Amino acid sequence: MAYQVTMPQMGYDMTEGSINRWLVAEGAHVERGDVIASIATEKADIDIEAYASGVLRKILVQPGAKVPVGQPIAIIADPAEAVPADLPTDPGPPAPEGPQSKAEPPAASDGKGRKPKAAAPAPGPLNPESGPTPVPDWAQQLTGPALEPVPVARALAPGDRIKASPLARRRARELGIQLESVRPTGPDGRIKAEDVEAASRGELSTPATRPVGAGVPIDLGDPSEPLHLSRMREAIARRMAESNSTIPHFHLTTEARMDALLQLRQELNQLGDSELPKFSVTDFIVRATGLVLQRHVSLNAAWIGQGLRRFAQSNIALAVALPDGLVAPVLRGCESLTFAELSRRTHDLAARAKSGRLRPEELSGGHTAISNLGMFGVSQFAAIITPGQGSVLAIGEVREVPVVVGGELVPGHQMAMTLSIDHRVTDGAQGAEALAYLRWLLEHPTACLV
Amino acid sequence: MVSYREAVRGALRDEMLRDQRVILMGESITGYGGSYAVTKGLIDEFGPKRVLETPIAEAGIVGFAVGAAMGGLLPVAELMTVNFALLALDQIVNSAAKFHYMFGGQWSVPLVVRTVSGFGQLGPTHSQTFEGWFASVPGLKVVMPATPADARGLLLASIRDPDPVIFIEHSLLYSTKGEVPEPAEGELDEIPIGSAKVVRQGRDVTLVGYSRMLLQALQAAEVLERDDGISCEVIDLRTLRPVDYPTVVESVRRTHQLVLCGEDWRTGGFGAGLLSEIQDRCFDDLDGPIQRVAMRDIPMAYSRQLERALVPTSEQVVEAVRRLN
Repeated sequence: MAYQVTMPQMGYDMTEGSINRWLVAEGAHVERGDVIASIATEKADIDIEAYASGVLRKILVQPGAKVPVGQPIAIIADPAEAVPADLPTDPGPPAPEGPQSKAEPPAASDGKGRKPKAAAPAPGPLNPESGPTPVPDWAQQLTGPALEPVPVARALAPGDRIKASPLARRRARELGIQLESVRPTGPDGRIKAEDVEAASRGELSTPATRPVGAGVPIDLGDPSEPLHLSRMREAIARRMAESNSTIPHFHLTTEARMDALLQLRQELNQLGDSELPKFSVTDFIVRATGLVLQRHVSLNAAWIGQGLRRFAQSNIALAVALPDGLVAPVLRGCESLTFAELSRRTHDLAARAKSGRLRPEELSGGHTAISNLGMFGVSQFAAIITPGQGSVLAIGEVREVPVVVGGELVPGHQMAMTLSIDHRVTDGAQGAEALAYLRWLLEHPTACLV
Repeated sequence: MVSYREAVRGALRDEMLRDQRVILMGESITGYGGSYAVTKGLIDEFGPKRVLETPIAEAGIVGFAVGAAMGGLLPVAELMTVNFALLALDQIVNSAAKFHYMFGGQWSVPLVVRTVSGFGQLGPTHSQTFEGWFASVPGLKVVMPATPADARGLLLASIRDPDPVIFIEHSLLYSTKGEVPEPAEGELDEIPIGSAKVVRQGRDVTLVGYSRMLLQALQAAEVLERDDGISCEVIDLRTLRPVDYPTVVESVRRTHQLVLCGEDWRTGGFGAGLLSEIQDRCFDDLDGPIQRVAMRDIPMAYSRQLERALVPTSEQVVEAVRRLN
């Protein structure tokens, strides 16, 4: 059976990807599970595997080309099997308008004054419903459905059901359109038939919302060329703008006395036990945050789509700065790790983030995030919540400052931290209680070892 | 222009003149002319042998009528309102609807039960809507006309039908007026039972209504056309059993969206069964969930304000269409 390899969705916000290189030539035999190509997403380079065995009959998208998620990029089929010759070989939207138009819908049904649509290429035997769903196994673990509105096509967690009307599904079958590539305009994010028709006309990239400031001429003051954006820059720009315009943030700041923690850290690191990692202040903060999410469950939640989703695990994203942007790999299930294991994993994630060797599943699924700019001398700041998460913790520098203890001025170490929370998820008092517990944990660091 | 009341009365009179077997029976239908004055004057024209005053005993009225029908007459029994039809349910369901089947077709029950649905500060026991109950019974036919012309044509067809027909008028429609066209030479002036009618052509949404809700649907269609640019096709179902599914299905296959407008309760009401059948026949044609406008699931209040909050309106039809778009 012919099987289409499609651009996979690596994380719920991925809408398009590009081919780095094909690792298998046309005509070569592949086994299910063989790595066949390297693709670039906004965040990482990823190897993709064949999900069916057969011959790589046709490569539809050449290296360098950027295509939307769900678009066929290659065909795997039996050697003798007929493969439709009229599949698009020209990547990317708009979908080519087939010269051989399929039957137009009857005039009576085209009541909204729309122009007749050019049909998409015939689906032939490559009916998307006839093959295995090209969703990688690991992707099933990702969490978080689409945030609406989405700018290009529907961004979904793999495994989430796409809402589409029965008529839309039928039209999609008839036109050979994959519902993943259709932007929904119906109630509750449902794809309607006209959305499928729009997608078949190649209107994939119609923005759902008018960009802020669009159409207003801006005096730049100085002639400048728009910079070519890296995929990571594009992603950061889009997601942070989405966050700042859709998430009602509020910010809570406190300071924690860090002397006990610094003392404990020093003791641990001086034990001389080669089995133990070298603990950092960040390890304590990650540990404490994980404990906070378990005790203050209202914070272990996110506003996703139209509603609130509450989580069980403490999954913490760790912002790691890179030369041209940042990534935030996620440490999952912090609550069930020993402190040593948590430290090892934290350092491993940070190291692989810097070398670009993160696995795609490590880039999503966070429930909160930690961003630390203390090493740059920043005393305190407020961070922006990543869409799909409910909060973010911004860590400032650990400073040696005069501290008043029992009426006496003594030298001490203080660290400011600001917890930014999505107000749709929880409220100020709950956030303050969570932050107070976080502070208490950092000031009583042995509690972090339990 | 003829009122709905006059159209019903005219159909009774004309059919009584045409066919000697037609008799009327009911409570206060002679001197008083019936509680909604539909039979007014008929006693003077046809006399007490054809217009029969009965005791206040609905089971008796229908039982008597079933016997008369089996014996060769064409009785039209009036039950003051559909609420009182509950007292005659056993005769309607267990006798009228069944005898043709139970006796191998040896007997027919060519009976019409005329009754009235409606509301208007009549309180919980006099404002009910039971068309869904009757429409659920095999062996019955159920007719609910919305216009004078349909009231006449369908009543004639009901009297001439060989099987029991529940003919439900609406108290709030009796004074509405409309043209009742004269039949062309040589044509029967009846409207066949089981035929719906497209009363307004449209392309975006199909509204199906009957009885008073047809008028609400038409009003909603006006508003939606004017304010939203949404073109509604409006279908008058006219007969609730048997339903003219082909007409509805043909429309839904063009518009892909459907709102069912009824006056009975949302839970288990007539629209619920209708919805089930249409979604089954039209599943792949639907571009959104079938919407229902129905009576709130609460016993009717006396208070005018509360009543207004319970009964389905054209505004609710408009809202239902907007929910789809």
